[in-house]
Amino acid sequence: MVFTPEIIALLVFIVTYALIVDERIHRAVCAMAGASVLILFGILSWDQVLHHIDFGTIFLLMGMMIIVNTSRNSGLFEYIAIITGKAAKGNPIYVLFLFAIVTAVSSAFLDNVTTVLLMTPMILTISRLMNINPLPFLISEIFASNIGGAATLIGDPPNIMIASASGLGFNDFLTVMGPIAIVDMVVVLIILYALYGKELKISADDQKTIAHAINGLDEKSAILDKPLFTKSVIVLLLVIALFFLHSSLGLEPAEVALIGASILLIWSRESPELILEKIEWPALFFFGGLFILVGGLVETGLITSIADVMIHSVNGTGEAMFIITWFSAIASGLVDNIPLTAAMIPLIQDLGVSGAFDIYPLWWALSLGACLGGNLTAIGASANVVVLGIMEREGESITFIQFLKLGALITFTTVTTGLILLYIMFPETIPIVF
Amino acid sequence: MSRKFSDLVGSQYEQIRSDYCDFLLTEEELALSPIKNIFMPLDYTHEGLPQHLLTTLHLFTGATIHLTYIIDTQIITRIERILGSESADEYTRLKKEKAGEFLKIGTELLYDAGFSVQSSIVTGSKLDDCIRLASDQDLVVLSKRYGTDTSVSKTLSPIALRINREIGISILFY
Repeated sequence: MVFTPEIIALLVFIVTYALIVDERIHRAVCAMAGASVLILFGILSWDQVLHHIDFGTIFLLMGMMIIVNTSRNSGLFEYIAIITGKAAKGNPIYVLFLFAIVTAVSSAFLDNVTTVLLMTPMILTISRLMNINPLPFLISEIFASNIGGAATLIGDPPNIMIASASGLGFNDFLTVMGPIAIVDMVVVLIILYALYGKELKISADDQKTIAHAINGLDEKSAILDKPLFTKSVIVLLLVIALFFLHSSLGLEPAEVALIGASILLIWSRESPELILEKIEWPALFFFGGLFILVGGLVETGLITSIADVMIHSVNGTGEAMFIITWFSAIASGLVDNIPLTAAMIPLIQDLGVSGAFDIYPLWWALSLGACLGGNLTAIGASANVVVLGIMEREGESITFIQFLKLGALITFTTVTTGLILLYIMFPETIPIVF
Repeated sequence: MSRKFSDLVGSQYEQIRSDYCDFLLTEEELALSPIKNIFMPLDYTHEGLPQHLLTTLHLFTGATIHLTYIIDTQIITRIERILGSESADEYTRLKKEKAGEFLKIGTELLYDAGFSVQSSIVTGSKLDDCIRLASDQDLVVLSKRYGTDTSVSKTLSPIALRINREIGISILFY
C-alpha cells in the first residue's frame, strides 16, 4: 500500500476522530497530536497551517469567554436564575416553560455550558421544594439550550465556524435561524407539556406555599459585586448591539467580541490573570488542531473528491440541503459537532465553487443539523453532558436509552420543522420529489 | 459521563454550587413545613403582635392563621346578673367592637407578612373554647398573658398554663 498524502491525511483524520470519540485522551490533545502528525509528514507547510487555522472562530470564542467569565464574577446569571424562579410563582408548568425560555435566550448569546451550569442549581432547588422529579425541567433545559444556541451566530460553536467561513453576519443568523429556533422551542414545549404535564400538577395550596418560599430568596444577595454587575450588563448589551450592527460598521464578529472583552477588562479592573486563566484554552487548542486536520483533507484534494461525488449524485440544492441537514443532525448526535462542522465547511465551499448548488441555503442546512442534532443523544452536545453530569452528582439519573428515545423524538421534530421552514424561506430549493 | 463532565466543566460546578449556597435554601429549609393551620386566640390582654413572633411565624410560610378573639361569657353573665341585660348587651357590643379592631390590625399585619388569615369572634370560655377550637389545628400561638388580668407578668398565666397542660398539640408562646 502506498501512503500518498491523501491516504495519510485521511488516516490521520479518521484515527484522530476515533480518539476524540473514544474520549480516553482529551479531545484537545487528540486534535493537536493529529495536527502535529500532518505537519511532521509534510502534508501541510507552515504557511498552509496558518492559512487553515480560522482565527475568526478562535478569537470570537476567546472574546466571549472573557466577557462571560468577567460577568460571572458579578453574580449576574444567578440573579437572572432567581428572578426566573420567582416569576414562575410556584407553578411547575411555569417553571418548566420559563426556565426553558430563559435558557434558550441565554444560550443564544452566551455559551451553552455556562448557561446550563448556572441555571441547573436553581432548577434543582425549585424542583426539590416542589417535591417534583427534576427530570422534566432539566431535560427541557438541555433541549432549550441546544435550540437557543442555534438561533444566533454566537450561540453555538458550529454557527461561529460557519459564520467565519462563509462571511454570514449576525443578522443573517438571526433572520434565518432565529425564527426556526422560536418555532422549534414552541414545538418542544408543547411536546414536553404533553409528556410531563400530568406529573407537573400540584395543589393550589402547595403552589402558594412554594411561591412564598421562593419569594423568600433575595435576588439582590446574588449580586456579589454591584459595580461589576452594572458594568457587565452594560458591556453585554453593548456587545449584543455591536453584533447587530457589525456588518454595517465593517467589524468582524471576532473583533466585536474582543472589543467587548477589552472594554470590560479595562472598566471592571478585574485581575486579567484570573480572568484569562478561566479561558477554556483546551477548547481553543482543540479548534486549532481541528482546523489543521481539516486543512490536510482540503490541501490533499480529498474534500474536493467528496464534493465531486456529491455533485454527480445529488440533484439540486434542495436535495443537498436535505442530505446535509440529516447527515449533520445524526452525526452530531453521535460524535462531536465541532469536528463535523469543521469537515463539512470546506465540502460546502467546494460545492459552491462547482456552481451546481446555491451555497447560501446549504450553510443554514449545516447549522440546523449540527446544532439541533446535539439533542439526539446524551452525549450529543456539551450542555447534555453537563446537565446529566450534574444530575448524576445530585442523585438523579436518566439512562442513555431513555434519553435517546426522548432525544430522537425532539431531534426528528425540530429538525423536520426547521427543514420545512428553510424550504419555505428558500422555495426555489424545494426538490421536485416534494 | 462523569469523565466527559469533568473534562468539560472541571471544578466550575463546585464553585457555582458554593456561590449559590450563600443565598439558596438549605436542605432543612427546602422541606416544607407540615404546619398548615395555626390557631391564635386573642383576648383583652392582647397588645399587638411582636416583631419576633412574626419572624418566627415565617418558619410556617403558607400556613393559614385562624385569629380568634374570645370574649368571656362568665363576665357577661355576671354583668347581666348584677346590672341587668341591657348593660350586658352594651358590654358585649363594646367588647365585640374592640375585638373587631384587634382582629383587623392583626389580620392586616399577618396578611402583609404573607399569610392567609381567617378571623372570628367567639363568646364562650377562654379555656374550654380555646382547647375545642384548637383541636383540628396544627399549632397554637398563644400570648403568655392570655386570660390573666392586665397586671404585667412574664410567666405564663394560669389559663395559658392549663391550656398548655391539656391541649394535645404544640404551643408557641409569645
